[in-house]
Amino acid sequence: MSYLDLKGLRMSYEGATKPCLDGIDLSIEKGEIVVILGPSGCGKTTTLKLIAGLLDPIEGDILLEGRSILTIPSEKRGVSMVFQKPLLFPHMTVAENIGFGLRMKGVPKELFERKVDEMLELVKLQGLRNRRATQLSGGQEQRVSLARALVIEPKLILLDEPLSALDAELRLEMRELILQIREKYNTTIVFVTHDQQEAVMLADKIALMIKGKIIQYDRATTFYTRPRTRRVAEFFGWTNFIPATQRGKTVVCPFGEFALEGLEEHNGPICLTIRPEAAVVSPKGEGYRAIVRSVMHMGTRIDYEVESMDTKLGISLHSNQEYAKGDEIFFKFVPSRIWAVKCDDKSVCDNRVVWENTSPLQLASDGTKLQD
Amino acid sequence: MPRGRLLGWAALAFLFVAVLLPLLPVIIWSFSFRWPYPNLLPEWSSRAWDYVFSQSTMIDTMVTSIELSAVVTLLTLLIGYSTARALGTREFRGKSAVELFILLPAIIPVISAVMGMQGVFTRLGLSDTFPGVVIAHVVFALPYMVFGLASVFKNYNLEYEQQARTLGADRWNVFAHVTVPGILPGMVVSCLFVFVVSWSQYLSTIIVGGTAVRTLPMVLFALMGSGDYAVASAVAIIFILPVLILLALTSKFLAGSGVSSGVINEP
Repeated sequence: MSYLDLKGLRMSYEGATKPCLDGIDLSIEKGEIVVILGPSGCGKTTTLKLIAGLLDPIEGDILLEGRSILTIPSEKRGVSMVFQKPLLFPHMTVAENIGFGLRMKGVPKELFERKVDEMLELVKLQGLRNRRATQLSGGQEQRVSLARALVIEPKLILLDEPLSALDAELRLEMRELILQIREKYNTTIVFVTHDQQEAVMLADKIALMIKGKIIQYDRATTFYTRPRTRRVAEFFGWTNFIPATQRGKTVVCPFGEFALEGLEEHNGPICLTIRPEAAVVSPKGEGYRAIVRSVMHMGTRIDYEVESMDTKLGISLHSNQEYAKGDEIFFKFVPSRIWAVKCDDKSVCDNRVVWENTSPLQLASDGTKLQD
Repeated sequence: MPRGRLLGWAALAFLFVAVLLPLLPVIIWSFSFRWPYPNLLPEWSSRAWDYVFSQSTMIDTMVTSIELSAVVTLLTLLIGYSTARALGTREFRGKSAVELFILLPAIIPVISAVMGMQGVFTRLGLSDTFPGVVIAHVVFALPYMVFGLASVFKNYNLEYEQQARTLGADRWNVFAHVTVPGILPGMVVSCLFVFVVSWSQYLSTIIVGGTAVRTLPMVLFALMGSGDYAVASAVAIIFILPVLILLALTSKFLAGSGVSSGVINEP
């Protein structure tokens, strides 16, 4: 039994043809920061609102400290939420905003003042105590919002993309603040974002959610070493996808056979994936022979698209290894940078080179192309 | 920006001509003894005002009018709130039909509707009573409250309420500390509007209330019929005053905020 358990949560909005959450299972331990990562419209925010009690699931259960909280009204769950917008009450001062939850609890004035001061210090806004909520900058607003959620010592804090409206510097500041809060109060935090970088920056564990389902739930680093499906791999910077066949624990592809450590036993077609930095140039005649098809200078590295063994391949080399279009190179693979993934919806994998930041998930999160 | 300022002055001048100028003759009339053609100005006199202030029924009528409009405003707010909230924040099947239904009292000629109403009220014993008049006024004022408040709720971000709930506020506290402050400016404007609608009701008051409920417009109509323009003008000014006072008291809500804007709304 974990601290927070989501069990088979299903949710559907009126008039929608497909369920918005299609059986969500998630276990979160006390003091963990778990990030639910996924494109907009995948059901992340809905999941948070279910936990907060602002929506009711049509099926499934939510257990907090082992007890179902579904019948407990939102205001009594001890779960506070920070929304994408800071939502500071405009008719109140900074201190009144932060103390809102305390006031609802009927906390004595002295304790109220002390706690508000403690929060103001934590978010470094001591000087703005009596400022109107409408007179703050975006970053300050979000910090007040966070302090307001934290001051009532909730069992759980839910954060709904609170960094998305901030610029890069403020985001780092907020990240520090969130990590500091976890360290100081051992707060359990569920964080929602569509930004992979943000997720990796904060998360102990990431739950990757697509179309109302959790595709993979693992430690952040595992997504870089052991993605489960092709879509996950594309999203986390795995560049090359090559059709292959798996026999037992061995994967057979045009580059030969690879015994991949940690791969589940399976027989049949599979998609071999190779990180672009997996290729190491070797002396002439050794390893695989390749012809350079295109060159992209990326500053400290150069991305090449090459053709080898009748297969298109994207490789990244250090920028001192310069080749021109049409050059012949020889290379080997670092075995730990090779992995095999399932092919999501399609049963057959096609050979493709996907450079980072052009993955379908990324596009979908920008709202430009939302499809499977 | 001299050009913007010029336009501002032009708008102000237009407002003055359109709104205040028509009132000028009324003010002059109220201080006149006689104002026969072709005199440019009348023979001055305080006769009308003396007369108005000497009548004790004048005060009674005024109090009745204020009571009536206040009760109507409060009831309309209570009845219209939920409807307005639903219309402003939700989409549902048959919404436009509901909107049309609510709009009906403002479209149908008052006189036809009141005739039918009076028939029912007589049977229920409501005719010639204060509550009867209140109900009649509420019916005609409700569309203004509902549509006024609905437009406030259209710009109202419900997430503020969700935020408050996750911070431990129950329904009542959410309403008192988040919703009401959030919609207050728009709510005040809608109430003011409804007050004025009730304040100026004549037909419905006289048909339902008969002689039992005597409001200012009834006195005004009677005076105008009698041909004593001086006294009628004085009463007309008294008729405007409470509305002007209310307007002044609520002006801080009106400044920079139309009916459609609450404090809590989307940028």
